[in-house]
Amino acid sequence: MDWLPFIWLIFSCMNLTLLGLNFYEFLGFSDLEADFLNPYELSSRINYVIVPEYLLHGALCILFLMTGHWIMFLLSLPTAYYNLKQYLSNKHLVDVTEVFKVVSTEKKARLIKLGFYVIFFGLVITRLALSVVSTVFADDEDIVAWSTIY
Amino acid sequence: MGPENPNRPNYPLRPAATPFASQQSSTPFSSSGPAVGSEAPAFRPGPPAASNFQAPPFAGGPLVGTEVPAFRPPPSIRSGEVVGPPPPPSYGPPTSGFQRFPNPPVSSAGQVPPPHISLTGQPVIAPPTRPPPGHASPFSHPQPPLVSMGSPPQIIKTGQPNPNIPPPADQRFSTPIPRPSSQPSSPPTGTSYPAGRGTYPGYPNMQPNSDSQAPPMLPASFQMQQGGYGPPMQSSFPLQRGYAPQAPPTSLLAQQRGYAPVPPVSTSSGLYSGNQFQQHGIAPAQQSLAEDFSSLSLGSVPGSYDAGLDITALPRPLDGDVEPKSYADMYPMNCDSRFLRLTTSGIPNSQSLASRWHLSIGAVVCPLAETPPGEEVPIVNFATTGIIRCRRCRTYVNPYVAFTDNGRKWRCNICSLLNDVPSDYFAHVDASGRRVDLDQRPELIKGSVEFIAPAEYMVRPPMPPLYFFLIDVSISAVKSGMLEVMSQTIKSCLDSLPGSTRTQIGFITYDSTIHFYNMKSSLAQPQMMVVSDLDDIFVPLPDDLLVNLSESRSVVEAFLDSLPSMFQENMNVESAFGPALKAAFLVMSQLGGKLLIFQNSLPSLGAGLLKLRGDDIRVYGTDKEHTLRLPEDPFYKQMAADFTKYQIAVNVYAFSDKYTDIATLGTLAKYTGGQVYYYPNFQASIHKEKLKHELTRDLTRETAWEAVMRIRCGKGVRFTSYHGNFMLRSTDLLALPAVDCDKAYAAQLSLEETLLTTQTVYFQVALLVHTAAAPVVADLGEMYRLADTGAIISLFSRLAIEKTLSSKLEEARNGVQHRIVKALREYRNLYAVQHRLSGRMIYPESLKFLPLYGLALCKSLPLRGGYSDVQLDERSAAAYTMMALPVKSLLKLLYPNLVRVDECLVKTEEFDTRKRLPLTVESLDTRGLYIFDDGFQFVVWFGKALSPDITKNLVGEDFATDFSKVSLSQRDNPMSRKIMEILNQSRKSDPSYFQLCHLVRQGDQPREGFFLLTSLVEDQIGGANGYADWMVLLFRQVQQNA
Repeated sequence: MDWLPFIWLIFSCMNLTLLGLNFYEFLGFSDLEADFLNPYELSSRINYVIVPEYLLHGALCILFLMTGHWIMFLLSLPTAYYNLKQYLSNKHLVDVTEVFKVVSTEKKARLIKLGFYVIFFGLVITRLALSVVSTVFADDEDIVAWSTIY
Repeated sequence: MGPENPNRPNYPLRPAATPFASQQSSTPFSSSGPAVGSEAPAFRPGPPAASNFQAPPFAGGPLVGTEVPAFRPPPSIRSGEVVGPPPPPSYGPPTSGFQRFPNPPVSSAGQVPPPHISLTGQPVIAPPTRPPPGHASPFSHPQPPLVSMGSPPQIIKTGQPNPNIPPPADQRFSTPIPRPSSQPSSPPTGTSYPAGRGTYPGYPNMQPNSDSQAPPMLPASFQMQQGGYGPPMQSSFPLQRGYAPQAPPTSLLAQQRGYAPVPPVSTSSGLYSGNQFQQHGIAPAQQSLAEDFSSLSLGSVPGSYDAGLDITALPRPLDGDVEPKSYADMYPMNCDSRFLRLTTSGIPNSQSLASRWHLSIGAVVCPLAETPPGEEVPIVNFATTGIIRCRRCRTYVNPYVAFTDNGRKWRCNICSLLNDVPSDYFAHVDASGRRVDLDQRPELIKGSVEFIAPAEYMVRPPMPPLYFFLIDVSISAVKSGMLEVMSQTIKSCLDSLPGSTRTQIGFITYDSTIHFYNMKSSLAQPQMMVVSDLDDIFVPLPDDLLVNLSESRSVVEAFLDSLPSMFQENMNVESAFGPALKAAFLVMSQLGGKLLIFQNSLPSLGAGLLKLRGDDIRVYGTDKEHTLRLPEDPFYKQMAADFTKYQIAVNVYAFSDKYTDIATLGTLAKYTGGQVYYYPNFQASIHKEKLKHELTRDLTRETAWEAVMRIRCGKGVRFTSYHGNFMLRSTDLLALPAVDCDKAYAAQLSLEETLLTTQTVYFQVALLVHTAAAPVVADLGEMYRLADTGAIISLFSRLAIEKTLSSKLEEARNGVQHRIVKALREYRNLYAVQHRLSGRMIYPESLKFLPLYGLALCKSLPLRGGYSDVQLDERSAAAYTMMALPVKSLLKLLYPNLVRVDECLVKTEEFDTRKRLPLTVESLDTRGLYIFDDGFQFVVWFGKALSPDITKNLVGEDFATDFSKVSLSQRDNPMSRKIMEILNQSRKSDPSYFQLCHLVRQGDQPREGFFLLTSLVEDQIGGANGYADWMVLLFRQVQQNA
């Protein structure tokens, strides 16, 4: 049981990073709309982080699976599927020539993902806290029992 | 149709055609220096350029048609004069079957009928149209819409008063009823068409003056008017052609007779001619009534001769593009419509109103449109004060700004901010609020001005104009003769390239390797360097690849002279296009400029190599079909973006007879503000003149460099999307590395606020500065009245073409159809309550050609049929071209001119370009000779029974031979001279492209089908609807859920 808090700590770090990346992308699109950024800069910035973001999310999924956190794994699946679909249809990168046509949909997608990661982050943090508590108070049966329900 | 181009066989060169080229080259277009705008829209830079501006030699867009006189007469009431100014010819209201009546009768039910209408007679007036003698086509007149109802020639009647005319219910006569002056304008209630309306309280006095006015003889064709009184009510008579007076229901007769006692024969041929009547005396009120709508009767109606619709009565744009005039009259200080056209000049005042307008609110902008001599855009130099602009929204000072505070402040018309007037620009304001120096300030009077941009408007100092050529020298380029024609043309243009002594020039050729040319002025001969490492492109001698033209002139000429022979023996079939493109980019990135690509085959080596995907028939018809129209390799999009970033405009010339993936290559032009020229199966012997003309024009036309364009508009509305060849640099800023008079851009706008509080919305296009105002309206009918078919179709075509990139052709066509149907349905709903509309299709006068153009759009190359109807490359090339076409050229392409010329060849009469014919096979008489002109090519059609004499005179002794091998050239006889003159005249009036002339003999398949029959948009072609069927289809759909 000692490793559990560490795992959750890693999860939460990954989640935080994903949250940050998405926020960064979202900000980029907003700046583009407000004309603080030109399409060239935007596409080079975003395209630089997009594949790492997808990989990170994939890694998170697999880690959930491997550590046996089924519910968390299932919850993270829809986003993974979305990412995979984008990647396979070659739409994941920002097309600098047509970016203004997609800017509003991209923003919306980012916003939804942001919401998803925020909620997810809440869950992960809770689990982290619980696992810490359960580790620290390992002898307290009630708490342990309660925490393993999840 | 078969993949092959019928004209493959070579035509002998046609000597005669050349005039164009030469002419053009001599004109000095001034290109101006590069301006740049950073944020400021670019102006053309001052100095070097401006001075040479001259009017372009080419006349501006040729409209062939005559224009229709004012669209609608000014509202003011004209007092009784009936005859008045020729009001609008055809815009009348509509109603009955097909015809539009110009003036509906006045008395509508709710109104008090004017006591008497005096018909002052105006009996008819239309200039006599000549009845087409023997000609098969029924339509003799240009003006389509109306059906003439035939009342017999009036002439007769003119003098007589007819005291009693029975109140006719029939509509068919369009009568101009003059209203007595005394009558205040009765409100035009829309109602004029109620069916019943008929009673005219007699026209007691009709005629008093008629005599004086009536021309003594009217040609038969004019029949109509006079009878005129008829309220147009019922729609139902389909027009029959020449309707003889007696036919109709009796009441009519009576009426008619009254007037015209003797009906002369109305000839059937005359039908059309009638249309014009309206012009005469339309009293104002009526007029407005009349404008309510036009209609076409489609259902069979009792009393009509034939059920369904009369093809001859359908509206046709035989006068070419007709711009709404009323709008221009309303705002005389607006820029000319050649620069900016709105799809409707009535901007809806609320979002709910906007949502009922299904035709897109938007604008088509052609910022550098050519102006006819005498109307040049004034150039304003604010050197001392700096350009006067609004502090907040950066609007340029324009005729609509208001000076207040005794001239010390001015209020921006777009954002309403009060700005200070700089002291140098100050002038007193007189009592009426006008500045005293108004007449010396073109920017305060004219809607279009050019400001000389000071240095702060440029991101960098003006760069010298740079022309860079990237030339494929593989075997097909050499064999087709492209290389030779191109070298000669470039050489002949060297003197007229813009930029005088600053012009830079450079060349790269490529096959499986890339060849650079050192053309340093100290060399006698150019030095060629071959780079065969395609993976890691580097540029040898980066400083000497681009040279100053005037310094290295002799080396450049030596190079162009030797280029064709240098590669004569080249057997290389590969094309390292991608790497060569990168090399060109490296060379040009410092200066920006124009890159001309001559590509003969599919890129096959290095980065950006493309596959033969166009051959894969399995993809056609599936959901993946549209991917064939999209660029295959992101390399090209990325390159295009980089080119734009470094101010390089790319024009693509493609020549291959095989699949070259224009869809992919074209992206280079699309995102850099360039253009695609496609010469399928190029043969120097046939296409030489075309390439020569178009390349010359490309090199020498007036060009603005490093431009950006922005359209500003007033509060509450916002441009949301842009369509055309350019790249957006920010949400509303179009980056145009090079822009010229042949490029137009479309934009759609939307309302940001639910309710607009202003009365007027202003638009300002900033490249040259064009300002326009448009009224805000609260009524949907008004929006329809102010609609502009040309702008709508231009926007639709761009939307449809964009749709073909993401879905099937059929969906794109359906999209066009649905929008038209929705718009007509909405319009119908406006009037359905007040009028009995059964069996009639109604549409606003302003949109009478919309269905036809919509049909033509669905049959245009990019949208036509299925995969086998048009080759993929041709489709893509046409799509890229149409995305950039100005409105007038587009309309001409969609509904080309068809004119008969044999009569004028035989006789000595002047050729009249206005006698255009409907585009249907029935217009073609086997005894005739016709010219078909869509702005891109001419087709000369020889009827089977055409007098051999004519054929002999035109094509020489060998008139029986295969026309694909014969070309039209000037021969030593008057007929030949005359036809060449006609052709050259048309070419001169439309110089954007060269119209190659194809000869076609009737029955000579597949040539005839390929060149002409598929372009006759009113006929059924390969499963697509004919015009009449299309109207019926639209009508049915409009009815559903109506």
